[in-house]
Formats: sequence, C-alpha cells, structure tokens
Amino acid sequence: MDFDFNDEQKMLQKGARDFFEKECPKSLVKKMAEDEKGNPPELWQKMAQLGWLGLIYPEQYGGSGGNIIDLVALEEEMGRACLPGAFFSTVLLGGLFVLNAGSEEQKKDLLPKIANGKVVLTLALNELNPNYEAAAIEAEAKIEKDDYVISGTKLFVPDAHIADYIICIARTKKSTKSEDGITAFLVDRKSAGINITVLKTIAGDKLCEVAFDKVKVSKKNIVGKLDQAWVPLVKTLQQVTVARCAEMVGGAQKALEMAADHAKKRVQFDRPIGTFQAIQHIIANAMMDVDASRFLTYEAAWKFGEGLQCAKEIAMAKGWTSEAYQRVTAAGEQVLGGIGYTTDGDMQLYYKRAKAAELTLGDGRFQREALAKELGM
Amino acid sequence: MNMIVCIKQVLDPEAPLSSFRIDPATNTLVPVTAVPFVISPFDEQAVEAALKIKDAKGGKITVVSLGTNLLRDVVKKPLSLGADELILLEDPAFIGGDSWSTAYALAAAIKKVGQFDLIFCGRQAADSDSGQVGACIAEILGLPQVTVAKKIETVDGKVKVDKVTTDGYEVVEVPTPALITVSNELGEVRFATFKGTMASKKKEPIIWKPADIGVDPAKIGAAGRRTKTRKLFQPVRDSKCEIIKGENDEDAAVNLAKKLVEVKLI
Repeated sequence: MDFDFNDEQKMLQKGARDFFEKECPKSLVKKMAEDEKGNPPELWQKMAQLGWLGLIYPEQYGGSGGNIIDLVALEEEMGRACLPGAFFSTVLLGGLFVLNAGSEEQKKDLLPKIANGKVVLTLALNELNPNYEAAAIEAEAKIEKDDYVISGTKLFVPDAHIADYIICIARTKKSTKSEDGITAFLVDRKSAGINITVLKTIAGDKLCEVAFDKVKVSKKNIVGKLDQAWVPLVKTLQQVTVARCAEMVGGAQKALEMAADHAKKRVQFDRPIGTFQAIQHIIANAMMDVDASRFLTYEAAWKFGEGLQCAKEIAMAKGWTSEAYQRVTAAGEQVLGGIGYTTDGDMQLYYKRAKAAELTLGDGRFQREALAKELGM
Repeated sequence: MNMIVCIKQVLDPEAPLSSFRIDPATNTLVPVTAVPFVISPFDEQAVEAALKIKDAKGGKITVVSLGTNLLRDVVKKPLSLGADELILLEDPAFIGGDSWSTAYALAAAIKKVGQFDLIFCGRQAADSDSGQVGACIAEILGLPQVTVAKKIETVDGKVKVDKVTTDGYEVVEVPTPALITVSNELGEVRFATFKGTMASKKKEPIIWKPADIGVDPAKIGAAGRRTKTRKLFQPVRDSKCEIIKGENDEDAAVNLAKKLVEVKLI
C-alpha cells in the first residue's frame, strides 16, 4: 500500500510550505487575530493567483481541477501555518456547497469569482442547538409571492461580517422527516433585516451570530432545489470535515516538531531535556497521535475521492483528530514549559486552534454517536 | 532563446545543525534525522533567471541535474515553474565527484543537448559552497562566463549582466553563448501555480547514463576527482565574556575603548 502523496502533491505541499513561511509569518497570524476583518487581502490575492482558491473546483467553473487529496495536501500546510482568513468559509463551506447543490448558472457565476478572489462567501447552518442534525434547523423561510422571507438566528457563521453573500440554510416545509423541507438561500449580506455580531473566540477565527429578521430573498436565489438542500449539505460537510482534519494534522505536526526541537536544545540539569525519559515518552505519544490522525484523514479522503461510502471513516478521522490535536498541543505546552504558555511563543496558537477545531463540524462525542449508528447501535 | 540550467539536489540547508553529524572516516555529512531534500537555493535563483528571460523573450529552458536518488518531487520543481525539459544524469558512476568531475559530466550532457544561448548555474551549491562547477563548465566548453549575477538582460546576440561586487555591482556585456552564475541578489523566486504543478506530471525526465553522454569513466564521479577532502569538521566556537568595569558608565566606556585598541579591533 502506498500511503504517500504522489510527486505532484508533494511538490504542491512543499511549495505551499515555502509560500506560507514567507507570506504568512506568525506575526501576521497574531495580527489577524486582533484585526476586525481577519482576512489579509494581499495573501488572499496571492493564493488566488496560485490557483489555490479554485483548487477543488472543476476547470469549467474557473477552478484548477484538483481533487480532494490535492486539497488535503494543501490544507495540511494551511494548518501548519495557522492560516488566517476566509478559505474555510468561502472556498470550502460556501463554494463546495454551490458546487454540490447549485444550478449550472450559479456555479458559473459564483465559483469563478471565488477562484479569482473576488468574492467572500459563507454558509449559515448552526443555530442555538448546533449539533449538525437536520432537526436542529429551525430558521424558517416562508413564501410571499416571488420572495421568501427568512427569520431565525444562526450562530458561529464564519466570516459573515466580511462575506459578500451568506448561504442561509432554512426550513421551507415542515415534514415528518426532518431532512426534508430544508432549502439553501443565497443572501446578500447587506440585505435589510440582517444583523451580524462578531463573537469573541479564543483562536482568532471570526465567527458571527447572524440574525435574520424577515429578510426577503428572491426565489431565484435558492441554491439548488427547493426543500432539497440536505443531501448536498451532507456531502459538503463531509468534504469540509476531511479538509478540517487535514488542517488539524498539519497543525499537530508543526506542534510536534516544535516540541521535539525544543527538547533537543533546552538544557537543564546539564543535559538536553529530550534525554529524559518522561519527555521522550510525551513526544513519542504525540508522534503516534499525529500519525494516527494523518492516516485516518488520508483514508477518509481517499474513500471520498473514490466515491466510496466513507461516513464511518470521516467520523473516525474527525473524532480522533479533534482529540489528538489537543493532546499533541498540550504535550507541546508541557515540553516547552514556561515559554509555551506565553503569547510571545507560537505553541499557544496551535493549542487554541486545536480546541476551536474540535468544536467545528462535530466534536468527539458527536462523531462517536455517528460511529455507533454506523455500527447499527 | 535556448537556455540550460544546472541544478543540484541537496539536503535542506535550513535544517537545524542538530540534524547532522560528520562521519570522520569518509569526511561526509550524514543526516541523523529525516532531513528533506531541496534544490540548492542559488540554483532556484538560476531557474528564476531563465524564467524571467523566457517570460520576456520566449524560448526553451532545459534543466540538467546530476546525482543519485534524485527525488522526482524535488528535481521536477523547475518544470512546475515553466521549464520545458528535465535531463537527469543519474547513475552510481557519478557518485563522489568533486567540482571538476561534476562539471565534466554536465558539460558533456550540455554538448549532447545541442544548441544553446545561455547556461545558468547557481553561484554555489548550498552543501559544498565550492562555487566552481559553473566556472569549470565554462572552461570545458570554452565559453565566456559571468559570475554572481543579480540581473540579466539579453540584447541582440549579447547578454548584459549586473555582476555583484564587494561594494556594489558592475555591468558586464558578453556575447552568447555564455555561462552565468546567479546570486540571490536576483530577487525572489516565484511559486508554482497549482496548474503548473499538475502540468509537470506530463513532463517525464530524460535519464542519461555515462554511456549516453560519451564521458570517460575515469573522469567522472569519485574516479575523476582532482581534489581530496582532508578533513570535514565543525569549528568549535568558544565564547568568553569579559565584563568591562568602571566607576560609572563613562568610565566603563573609556575602559572598553582601551580594551578594543589593546586587542587591535579598533
């Protein structure tokens, strides 16, 4: 079995690493955490020019024609770099949903704009009970002549405050089966009745509360088909979850390297601390966590790319990696000692991101429940 | 404009020192942990110099690399950036060479490539730092050479080069064909687009063995060395700190100045 990337994916990954080392230093990451918008415009355009914003979209829609493994290779480096900005919201959540659900016209309109860095998009899914189940969607969209009127509050919407458009997932029909009657609407962020509040987060990511107070949206702005958004939404969430796992793997790898490097250099009691067994075991455990996370993610990505059933693999990848990333960064904090806890250092960036990533797209408990269902329990 | 660029695969020079140890028996550097391979950074600059000319004037770029265990995801990078062809001199017979025996083999390969206008090399390899392969190739092929270039322009069968000097730069004009070694003052190297990376998949490298380029086996690799490495070592840096004292800051400054004069630093 060959678990490695192919030569071109390795080149992509190496190029991305070099690019982010130069264009996304930790000083920028820290600055963006404090920045109101949080999406560095120059970096965004440079990624567009390299074809990364359209990497996963077909060439006919202005994309680069890459596949999910290519995306995984790139996402690892984004995680390693703690890339700030709207890639997750725009390219993955919003863009992939348009690709999976949108009409031909919508794809031809929006995807090239995303690929060229001209538009920021996001997806408003979570509500007060953010458990990624269809039953949790209570925001309503009622028909009034040629428009739909959306009311409800969405939480943890990434980058809503800078998005040009928000894809709002709302209920258009009550049904015995909660997956039925869900529709996606492309809403102009500046529409009357939208109120956006940027939430305080620990990891510098920009998550928003978006209140829809009788927001009018034309029927033409339904993304895909009326009442049938759930199936493409599930597919989108699967892809985005794999991408997020890859991002966590990249971050965990970097945290491991930082810890190991520090252990080799830091001398206490007349010897490098990496010669103490306790430290060695901490780092060895972290290494096992990183590799396990990596290969669970790769398996999930490969199966998705091959069009195989992969709900179980994705749940395992997310469930495991969410917790492994936290263990690795906690280990990193322990090895780095005092300097690990300061905001001057970089380990805290990964530590915070690990927690934030755990809670996105379903934490370990959510994924375990999904796995239990897969086993028929 | 036909251009040839020579590149070398090296261990990542940015890897921490703790990643290496010196084998005193063979006088070679041995990695102790997994250190990635990269293209020698000055050679990347050489590729960039050729690409800039191709962008402006068109032409073809042939990249040549000599070594063993050449990783395709490393040496194919110039193809992802816009180079047209990759030739690998990949054979155990090439192992253990010095600047001269390496240049001899590369020159033979360049002769086989055929007509060219410019050869680009990095000013020195990031591992050995000898800085002689380019000059040796030029000597073997009987070409004019300009070293340590920071800017290159082609003008009507000639090339105008800004050559770095210790206190600035000088402008040199040479007829083509010529060889130029490129320095980091050329500027930033470009990153490969995703499409460029994927397009490199279709460009398979051409592999040449010693027999393909008609070299004398006694003149390549270890057999062709003209230099011998007597010792490879990491110099021990012992730093001592002497606190210069004084009754006050001004007094201490005077004492410091006296000390610097005493040790002939000023």
